[in-house]
Amino acid sequence: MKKIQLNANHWAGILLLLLVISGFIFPNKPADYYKLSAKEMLRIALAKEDVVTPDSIRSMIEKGEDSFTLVDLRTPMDYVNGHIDDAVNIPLPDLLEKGNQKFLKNQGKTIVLYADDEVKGCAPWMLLKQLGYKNVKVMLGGYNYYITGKKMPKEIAGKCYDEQPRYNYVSYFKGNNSITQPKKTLLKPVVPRRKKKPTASGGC
Amino acid sequence: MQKGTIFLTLVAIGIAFLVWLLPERPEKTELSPKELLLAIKDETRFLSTDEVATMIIGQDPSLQLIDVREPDEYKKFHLPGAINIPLEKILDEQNLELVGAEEQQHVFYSNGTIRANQAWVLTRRLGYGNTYIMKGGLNRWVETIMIPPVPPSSAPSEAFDQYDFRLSACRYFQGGKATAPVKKQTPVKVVPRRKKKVTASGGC
Repeated sequence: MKKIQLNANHWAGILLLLLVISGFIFPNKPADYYKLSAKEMLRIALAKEDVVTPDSIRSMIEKGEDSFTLVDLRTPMDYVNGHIDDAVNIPLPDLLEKGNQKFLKNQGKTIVLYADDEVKGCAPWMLLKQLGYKNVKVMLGGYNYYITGKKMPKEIAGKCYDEQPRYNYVSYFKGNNSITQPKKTLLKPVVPRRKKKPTASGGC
Repeated sequence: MQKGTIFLTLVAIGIAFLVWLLPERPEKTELSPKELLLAIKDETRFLSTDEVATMIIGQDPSLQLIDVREPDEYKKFHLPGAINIPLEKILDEQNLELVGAEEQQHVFYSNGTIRANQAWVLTRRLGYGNTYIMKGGLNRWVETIMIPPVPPSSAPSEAFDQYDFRLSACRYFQGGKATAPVKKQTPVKVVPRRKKKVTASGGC
């Protein structure tokens, strides 16, 4: 076979086709993109390591430790009505704004997120985690639990508070648990006692 | 035909072959972080236990309940019709295929909300849109459907309608067994009639 001579036009054609192919292989990445894949995020979520109990936050505040920054994700209104000492308010809708991202990135400390409850803090925590924030945690129980001042039981501290089964589900669905019966049906009909009549009224 | 043209044609065919070899792109397009934040803010992903109960009782064909707890938790108890995809396996290919079925509403649930929420965030990021969360999970289910709180007398009539619905839903999920304890109580209601004693037996 004769050797094929490539001229400039051929090279240009090949380059163009390669360019088209690379477009298929490497889709454009937006300015802020995920640093973790969904699977990596799942592994982190299952490890349950990024949780802080309300008690430990309270005791750290009392000790005057400043190794962490508290971030309040609730609305400015809720924040004004009451928040944990020294917490910074970043309402959830503004979480990805440039200024806030800069602020969070430049914290040399652990970021502890909290919202009304644990559930509302969870998704934002996952979002920041996937964006590559390593030092971000979420407070168990959320603000609603924090203000009760209650200590978190040892067996659930460090796990997800919200995920603890509070009932024996099977017994409720089998219906042999007396508690499942609404109180109304438990009421026994009140039977008025009859007064004893004098048996022999008209005696001799 | 010119040699150059033949060459370019061959190159084009080669590239077409390469493109054909490329792994098939998933149909779902990943959400950008900003889109994911918008989705997280949207509370419509949460279904109440009442809504889910209504769908189960009405045998809604579009409902696909997904229990994201561990297999042993699922074996002990699960909602009727639910399938088990433990959270750690939610990103497995065949499970994602299940979640991707467009014609169904996939409702994640767990003991609380956290694990279901995590499954939702991860699948939502990957572009799966027909997914919901049963808010409060099985804990809330017991508290609302199995032992519904009696609304105060000052409550609007809707609250009483809801209470009535929950009572009948409870009976439905207990499979009719709920009537059993009531039967036990019925003997209480039966007051044996006293035979009239002859008041004056020993007459004159």
